[in-house]
Amino acid sequence: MRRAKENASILSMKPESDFNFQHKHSTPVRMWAWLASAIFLGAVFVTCAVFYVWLYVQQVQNGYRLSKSYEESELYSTVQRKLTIEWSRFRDPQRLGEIGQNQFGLAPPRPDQKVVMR
Amino acid sequence: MERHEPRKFLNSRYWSCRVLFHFLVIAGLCAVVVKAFRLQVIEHSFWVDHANACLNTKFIVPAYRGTIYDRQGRVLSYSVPQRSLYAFGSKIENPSKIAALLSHVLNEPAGTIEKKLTSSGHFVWIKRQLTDQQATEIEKLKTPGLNLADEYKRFYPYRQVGGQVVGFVNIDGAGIEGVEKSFDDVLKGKPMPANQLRDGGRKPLWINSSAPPEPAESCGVRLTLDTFIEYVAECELEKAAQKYNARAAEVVVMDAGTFEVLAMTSWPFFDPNIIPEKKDPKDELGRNHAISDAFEPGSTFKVFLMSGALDQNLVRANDRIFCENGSFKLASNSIKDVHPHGWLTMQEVIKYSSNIGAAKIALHMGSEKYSRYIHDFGFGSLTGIALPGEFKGLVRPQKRWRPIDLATTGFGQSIGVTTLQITNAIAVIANGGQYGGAIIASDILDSQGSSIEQIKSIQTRRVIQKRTADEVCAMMMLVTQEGGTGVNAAPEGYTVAGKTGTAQVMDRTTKHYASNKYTSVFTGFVPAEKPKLVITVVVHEPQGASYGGVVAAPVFRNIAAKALPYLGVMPSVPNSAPGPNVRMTKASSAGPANATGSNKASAEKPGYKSAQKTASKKPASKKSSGAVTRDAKKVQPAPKATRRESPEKYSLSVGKREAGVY
Repeated sequence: MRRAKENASILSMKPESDFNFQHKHSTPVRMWAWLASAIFLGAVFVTCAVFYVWLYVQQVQNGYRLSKSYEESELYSTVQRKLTIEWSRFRDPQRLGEIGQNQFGLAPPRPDQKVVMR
Repeated sequence: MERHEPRKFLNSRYWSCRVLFHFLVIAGLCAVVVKAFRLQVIEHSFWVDHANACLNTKFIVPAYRGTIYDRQGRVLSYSVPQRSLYAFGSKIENPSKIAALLSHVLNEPAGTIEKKLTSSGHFVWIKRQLTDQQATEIEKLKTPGLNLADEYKRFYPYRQVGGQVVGFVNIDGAGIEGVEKSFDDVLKGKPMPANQLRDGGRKPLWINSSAPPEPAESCGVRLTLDTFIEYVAECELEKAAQKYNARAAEVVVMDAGTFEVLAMTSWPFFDPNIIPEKKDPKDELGRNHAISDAFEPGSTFKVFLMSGALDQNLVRANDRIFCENGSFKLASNSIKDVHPHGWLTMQEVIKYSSNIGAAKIALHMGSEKYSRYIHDFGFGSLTGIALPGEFKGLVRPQKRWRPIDLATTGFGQSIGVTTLQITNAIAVIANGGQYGGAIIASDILDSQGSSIEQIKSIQTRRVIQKRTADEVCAMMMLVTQEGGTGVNAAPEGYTVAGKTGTAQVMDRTTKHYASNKYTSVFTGFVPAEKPKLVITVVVHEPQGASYGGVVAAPVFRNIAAKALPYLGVMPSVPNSAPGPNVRMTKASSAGPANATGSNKASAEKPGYKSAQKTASKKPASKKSSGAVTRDAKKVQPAPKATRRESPEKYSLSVGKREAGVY
């Protein structure tokens, strides 16, 4: 137990009695330790910052894409509405009658072409 | 290595520089803090607004005006985005050059466009609702100061079919006439503003957490109109109006059971796609004459008189009345019949349309009772149809009736009714005496076309007893049978209960009835035994013929002949004779070759000529029709090849036809 207490200062790398040891060895080690920690934290911070910026850029890019898609969907909606009108025009009985008469030569049946079904 | 010399740095100059440096740094930092405080705290709202104004932009999410459908779901009115051209006059550098360019694209005089461009330095419309080609060409010009805006144009794909009922909207999309006006609150779209970001180049981007709002359509309306029946009615009405060179003509077709208007039109027709930019207030553009114009109904009104008299037990169907051999003096006035009659039964008064008989019945009934029935049938009041501009008609207050007014009202003079009113009143008789208000719209629909609210007739009352309605129906059937005034109204295979009317027209200048101007009317329902359609045809001032039975009745017949099979109502007269040259066969054995075969092919078949002779020799009467049928069947056996076919292949399936394909 006593020996362990004696070695405690050596093991903890903080020899209190040896002033030279403290000056010659502890400062660079601590400095490197702090530096390493700082570099690590800096790297983490920079990574986070880059990631944050990347996310923001992605958000903006997606914003542009969404906006473009919205415009496209509006365009398709317009086209669809115009096609609905066209389709309705095709169903116009007057137009169908004109097509039947002019294009296909159809006409109301003559009496001899009629068959009364009982 | 240089030695450290503390004294060198401990002089006063060093300290003053150091203090000054510290002061400058602290002052700088303080300035930054103060400025930051000013920007972030004191002027915070200003700069937030400024930033929002630069980045945020508002845009309008399109909200289309609701669609109008017919009863089969056919689109009658529809909104489509259409671009409009506007300009900022101050930004136009060379107006004359741009006007020349635009003139070529817009097909408008360059002078007019230049005038618009130079008239104001601010916003000015150059042309609204361009075609797609025009918008594309203008985009290619890329002229500063010229811009395109999205607007909505209303299209009516069936053009004039139902044009007066559907109505139209103005250039700003507000309903002006017809259903477009009466249902404007339901149909009009409510554009929703939404916020969006724009970058420095004004390029839009969406960074909201929610999805961008989608363009929405407002609620729609489903009408009771049927486009096919409307089209048939318009075709037949136009033929008659042109044949007799009429001033105007109207038709209303109504469902006898539900009081739903299936067709309503007035000639000349109106295409809501073609609206002049500046409408003359006196112009009758798009006016629905079937509900807004009153006319004297003439003899058609006798059925309402007879209904009242029978309902009150004042007369019976077989009672006789003396018709004065064609001339009846009442005070200083003389009432005449077209054909002189002596004693007539009540049925014959209707069948032969005796004015004198009707006048005597009206005098016997009295003004109070007769007036009550007139109002109960809906004359002198609105039918309640959801259309703007309905006229309630002209019915004099009963207390002001003189005896001659009472007598003439009995045969449809001294009273003004609309085509819709008379149709509605006939529908009361067809419906067993129960009154219902006319309906033009059946449902309010959501943007997906599903019904969210049903519209039903709220005005219901009993006008006459069922027994009375049946008696009047039987009298009206006589009108369309041999010897009656309306024989031309009966379509082949169907029974019709109707009444003709030929009313003189009051000359506005002389204030007397014109001798050469008439209103020809036929109104009735078909099939008489189980009414499905109530049809009223009114032709104003026809030339060459004037009788309702000659001018209006054929229109009734032709409309009924096409509309009834379309509605799945099969002929009910079992042994009605077909016209000459028409062959007969059993429905189950008739092949497609028979139904559509050419004349040449038919002539080659054995027995064709003899059948033709037989059919043409036999008169088209009920008694002989059975013989014609038997003879035709004898000489016209079904071909062997078609007998093996499945009967279902050639069976009629009118009721199952595809909607919209005629």
